Amino acid sequence: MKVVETIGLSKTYVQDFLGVEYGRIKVRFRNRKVEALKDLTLSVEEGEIFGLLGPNGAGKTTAIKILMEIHYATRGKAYLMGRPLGDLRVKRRIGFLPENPYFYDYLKGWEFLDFYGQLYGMPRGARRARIEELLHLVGLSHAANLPLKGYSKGMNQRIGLAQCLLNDPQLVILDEPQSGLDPLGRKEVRDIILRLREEGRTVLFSSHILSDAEMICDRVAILYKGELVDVGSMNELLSAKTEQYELVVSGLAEAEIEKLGSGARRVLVSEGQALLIYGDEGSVQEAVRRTIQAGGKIESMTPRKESLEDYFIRQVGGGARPRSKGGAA
Amino acid sequence: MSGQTIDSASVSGSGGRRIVGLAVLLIVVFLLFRTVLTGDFKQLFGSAQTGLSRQTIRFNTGADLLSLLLLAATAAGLVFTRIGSIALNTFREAVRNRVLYFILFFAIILMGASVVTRQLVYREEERFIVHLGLSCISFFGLMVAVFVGISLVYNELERKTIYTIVSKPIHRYQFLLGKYFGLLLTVYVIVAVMTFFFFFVMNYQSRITEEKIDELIYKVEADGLYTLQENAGWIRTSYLLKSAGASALRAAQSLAGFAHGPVTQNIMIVVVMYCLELMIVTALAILYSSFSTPTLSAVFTVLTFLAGRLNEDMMRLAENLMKKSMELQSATSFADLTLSAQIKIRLAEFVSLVVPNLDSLNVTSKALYQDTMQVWRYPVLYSICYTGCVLLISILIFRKRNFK
Ligand SMILES: Nc1ncnc2c1ncn2[C@@H]1O[C@H](COP(=O)(O)OP(=O)(O)OP(=O)(O)O)[C@@H](O)[C@H]1O
Ligand SMILES: [Mg+2]
Repeated sequence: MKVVETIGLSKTYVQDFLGVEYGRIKVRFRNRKVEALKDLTLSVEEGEIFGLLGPNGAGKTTAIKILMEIHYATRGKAYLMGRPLGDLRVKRRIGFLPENPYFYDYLKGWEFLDFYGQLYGMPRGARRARIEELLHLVGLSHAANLPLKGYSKGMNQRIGLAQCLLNDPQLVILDEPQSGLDPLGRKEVRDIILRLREEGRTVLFSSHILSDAEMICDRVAILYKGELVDVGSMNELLSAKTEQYELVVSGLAEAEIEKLGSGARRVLVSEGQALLIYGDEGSVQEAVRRTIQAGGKIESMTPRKESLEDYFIRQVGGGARPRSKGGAA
Repeated sequence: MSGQTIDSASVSGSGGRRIVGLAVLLIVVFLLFRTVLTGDFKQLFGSAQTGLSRQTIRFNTGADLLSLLLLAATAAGLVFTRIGSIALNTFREAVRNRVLYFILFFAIILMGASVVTRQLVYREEERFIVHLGLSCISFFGLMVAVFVGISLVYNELERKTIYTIVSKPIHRYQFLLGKYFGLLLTVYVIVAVMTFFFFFVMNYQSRITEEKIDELIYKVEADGLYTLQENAGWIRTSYLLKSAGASALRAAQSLAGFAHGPVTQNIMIVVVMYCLELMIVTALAILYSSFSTPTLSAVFTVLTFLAGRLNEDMMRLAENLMKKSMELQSATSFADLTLSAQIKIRLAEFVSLVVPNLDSLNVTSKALYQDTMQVWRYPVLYSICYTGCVLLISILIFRKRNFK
């Protein structure tokens, strides 16, 4: 079943004279148009982890906002769980975490979750049990009685995650769930997402941190300047063959390293160790053999496949990429 | 990540506090209902309240029962519906906002200051104090409706808390109505607190006089001389405290509509009219903030309020225009007038129709110069209908709106 389906979804932002958008009510004056999303057609299957990737300003958040009805699409259609947007029965089975979430900061952690539980129509007892469970899951049990005002960015992200899991959702939509988290937090979020899939849920999340997406996504879509560049499973998108081999050796004389380096693409030497990068399997095996002969030690040998990062730079990189935002990916 | 279990004692403790808070809230709502009912529908229930002696407490069975019923409906609405959840959360946000207390603080300072002023104004003193107090209630009620109201709606959009609300299974109209009722609740609670304080000050003032205190603390000796009693300080303090307590009790009774004298009854009627007015103004604040920036919304709301207070003038203008042009053009019917005159008249009529007629709700001067008065049904109906229209328009705008 297609849990999320979009057909030709487009969004053009028009800013009018009061600086506010009225949707269909068009008060046009000093127009400034931004085509944030152009003809996005994709679908997310049940039970998969789907990554929406792209550099800053690619339109990831816009797409998600349209799905959540925060914005209305200019053109195109979207379906969640086979129904058009706006169906409350569907919303009952969805969890959503916006990017850089901000919640009612005058509420305590548990008050906040309790309020949202009320919006789901959960009975009092069920709310309490679920809140306790979720606070534990996101590691905020100690902060349950702290006002959200006193939460750090990462804690805010965590309570946001708890908030979107309150109703035991079938579909979880997360906009940059890992932003603002420390490495441990990132790993925890990754684990939570993987667990959600194990429990049979569908996860749609956006990110520009490619390594995170690479590890957990079943399929990804790549957006660039509002357009869908590519969509598919990780294997389909990334060329399967190994691109290069990285060999780290130690205990060799400089002359030996120089000799090894003759067949390598690159050589980096530091503190008695040398990193040698080879382009084909034959030469790396030759290098390993010679190192052992010369009495050196093999520290590591890693075959490198093309990463999502490499792919990304290949696809949207080069001259097409806006320079000012170049460092983001 | 230490201490992995929630401190459940404190959680339930807060739950208890919440129930107390809710109870207080409901009592206030009950009082409002009761006042409206006892003031307005007294003929319906057949118990005469006018001319009540100042000391008796009398119940009005019909009004009391109906108030209880309405109260139960409100309570159920707040507790069991999503609109209610949002309303209570909005109320909670307002109550945890410092601005509210600043406004309340100034209102109370100003009313308390009338204690001092009283000694400066001899004639008409009661009227003066009543006027000052009522103006305070009206003005600060408006402040709460406009500034707290607009900022509460704006914050939702600006801080993007609306994002997660929209993703929950509630309709946008439920959100907007929840905001509205939460705000109204806040405004009414503030009005009730101010009114209580106002009654308290009035009561306290009329109780305490220097002569009475002197009478208490001096003893008349056999030779006709006055001597200060030994524990004069204590007598004085306890007298003041007792008076304060009694005043507070009477203020609560007056607020509840249980023990009206002619003055307090009139004041209550004026306050109820203010509540109707604030019902409209709060709806307007919601309307404006559903599509524009907070500064603009505040300006629009205050301007509409002022225009509303001048509405009768606009009506009179339309009438006068009509009369004048009829005379000048010696016409017999409206159709005979020139087009420009017709347009002018229709425009004036249109404006007076669209702008809320707050003038008719403002009965302050009547209350000051008449002995007894009644609330009529018309303003209640008018306010409810006008508010309904404004909220409907807000919902229509809000429904189709993109959030920032
Ligand atoms: N409310 C808005 N009004 C006008 N333009 C907007 C609005 N929101 C987004 N945009 C524009 O739409 C484009 C896409 O923005 P979007 O937020 O979807 O990007 P994103 O992929 O989520 O980027 P990021 O990784 O930075 O979160 C941007 O060029 C942005 O300037
Ligand atoms: Mg984004």
